Amino acid sequence: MSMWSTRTQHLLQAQDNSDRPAHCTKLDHRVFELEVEIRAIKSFRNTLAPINGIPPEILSIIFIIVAHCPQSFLDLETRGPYVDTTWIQSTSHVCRQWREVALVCPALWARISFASPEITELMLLRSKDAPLSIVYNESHQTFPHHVLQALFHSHRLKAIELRSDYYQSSSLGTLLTHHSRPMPILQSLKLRDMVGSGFHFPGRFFPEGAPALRYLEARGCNISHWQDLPLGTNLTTLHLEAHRTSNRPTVEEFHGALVRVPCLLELSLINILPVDEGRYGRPISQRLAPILPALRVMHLEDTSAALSTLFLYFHIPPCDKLEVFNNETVNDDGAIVDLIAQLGSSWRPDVHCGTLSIFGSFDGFQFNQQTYDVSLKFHQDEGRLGSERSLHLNLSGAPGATSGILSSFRWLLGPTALHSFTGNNLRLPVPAWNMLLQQLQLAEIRIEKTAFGGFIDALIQSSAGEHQPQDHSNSGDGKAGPPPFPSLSCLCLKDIHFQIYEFGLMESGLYKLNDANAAVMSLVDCLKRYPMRKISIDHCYGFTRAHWRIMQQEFPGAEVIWDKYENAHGSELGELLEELRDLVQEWGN
Amino acid sequence: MVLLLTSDNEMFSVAEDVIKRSAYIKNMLEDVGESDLPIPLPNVESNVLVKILEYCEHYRGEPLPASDVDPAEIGDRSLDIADWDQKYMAVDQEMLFEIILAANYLDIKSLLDVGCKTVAKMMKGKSSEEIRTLFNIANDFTPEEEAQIRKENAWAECR
Repeated sequence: MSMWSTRTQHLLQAQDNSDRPAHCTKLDHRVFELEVEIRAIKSFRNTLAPINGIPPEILSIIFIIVAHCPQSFLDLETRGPYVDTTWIQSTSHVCRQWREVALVCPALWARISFASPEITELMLLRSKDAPLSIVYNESHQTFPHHVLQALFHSHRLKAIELRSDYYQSSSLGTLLTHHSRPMPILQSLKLRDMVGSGFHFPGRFFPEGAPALRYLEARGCNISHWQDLPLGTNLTTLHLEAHRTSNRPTVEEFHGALVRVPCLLELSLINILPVDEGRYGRPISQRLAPILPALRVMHLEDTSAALSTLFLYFHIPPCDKLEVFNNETVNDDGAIVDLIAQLGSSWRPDVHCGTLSIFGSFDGFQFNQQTYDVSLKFHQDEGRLGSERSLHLNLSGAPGATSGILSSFRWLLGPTALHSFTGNNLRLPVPAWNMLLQQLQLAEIRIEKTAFGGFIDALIQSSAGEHQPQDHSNSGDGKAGPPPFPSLSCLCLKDIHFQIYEFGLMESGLYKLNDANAAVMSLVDCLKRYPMRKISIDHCYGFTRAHWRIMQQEFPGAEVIWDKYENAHGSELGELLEELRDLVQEWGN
Repeated sequence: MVLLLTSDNEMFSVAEDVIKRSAYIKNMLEDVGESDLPIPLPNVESNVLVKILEYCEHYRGEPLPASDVDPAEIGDRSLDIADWDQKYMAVDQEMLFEIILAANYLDIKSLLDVGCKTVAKMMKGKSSEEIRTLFNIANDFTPEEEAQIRKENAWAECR
């Protein structure tokens, strides 16, 4: 008892049985006094904690980082966008000093949660006049009243993300139709309804436009009035994806909209391009005025008719990266060739280096029908450092159209631009190779899952002097043209058959791949004329250890890589014994 | 070379392009011009300045971050920290907060940002009780405040 304060000792020693309630009151009061005292001591002690030595303005920045750090990719994929509120516990519920810092920092509360109406109201109140960010994912119910409540703070809305994964009728369209207030500081707007009924956009959502808007994404939209879209000079990113039931714009509407965004850097348009149904009956005197001078990335995904309309009427801006996805199944390979030719007349970029990828994939049910993805990624800045052009061509899964595609890309490739070629799952006949062997800078060839008899054909015929490149033969000076693939130094073969038993697969070249030994020796003889620095053989049928040895001997200056895959049919007992001897020798060493 | 005098009276001679990562020193040098007099740093002790100079030396020659970014502005703030910065910040709590204070005083924005992110990363996903234990903080809320906090927790969890 001696360690207690005098007042406490006095209270505990006093025995006033005559007025017990009064004594209890005194004791309660003392308890209260002590609790206040304890809290004061704790508060003072908290000031001595190292973290509380940093000033409130820095502590509030730390709180904002905790509260506003982005969702992980996995979380976003599995749960969809939402506002995490666990930061409230980790900051404002720790101690009184932290709570004071949190409560006087409006920006901390400005990312509004819709976990409950109460928390929404609390955050709207505590965020005072700070610019707001709204994220709501309508997955199980229609948009609740408190989302509307937040939208009423339109004068301070800086970012809005509304997403509907509701399979029935979505209320996103209703929301956009009925909410109509000025949004002077809105910078980012993301709207998405891909599984439900979609939404009419922009509805009456922007009575005074959105002058500060920089980022606009509307997926699942049905745009009825293109002139009402919130497009302005501040917009740098635009993603529009039409709902499957939506109408397409006219060429004029579409052009009029894009003219309004001269500072746009990134554009993605999916199933929303105009389609000029009567274009064949009406001559096009000239293309519309060039648009989007600042554009760097363009992503187009649409039917061939829509893409064709775009290429016919518009100048495609000289962007750094262009991706074209023809998402319509076609049964005529010529369609993709025509489309590429149209692209060539619409788009003339000053391309220095980059990658051109064409990926064709079969319709799962109809073998003759394909869809095509054409992707062109360029790096203009790097190209400006040197005058030499450097392009890489990846061609995959276009068995019928390979020659046509290569031919239609002549405008881009030229005779010296191509530095590497990758062919995967193709049919590469001699005409296709003849186009490639004229490429003066082509140093690296990769062939995968492709009958490569045409390649050996091209090498053999050219070495026999049968090939005269067109450019040089037309010169009339009588001199022989350069050798085929004059810069070839790297050849990589993967999943290739050196010996083919199926007759149909042998047809890709005149060279018959019916004897693996003969095929390898032909290849070796032809490649000996080149300063090879790398030959890679990976998972190739009919290729054996003995072939690998021959290649190592014939190309001492090259890195000859073999994965040691030997098909059971291709390996002889003698080779197995040889391998065994090698292993024994390795152990001995 | 620039002379710096710490609060515990230690003198440091530092290359100008190293210490110019500090906007405070950079402005002072531009205002005062060349001088043989040391710049006093009454808020920075020598052991902390050694650590600060290690950071400035590592990033010597790299462009300074834009100064017009408001750190309190709303927007996604990634918690990603470069490998070297993570190792640099692997110090005891006392030193960590001293670095933050010094970065704030010397106006080294990138270092302040790394410091704040390091602390935020320590806090992320922890309950209030875990935070108290982590930073040696006592619960000093009144019963009324506790009741309000319980309500806020219930509201925040409601979906």
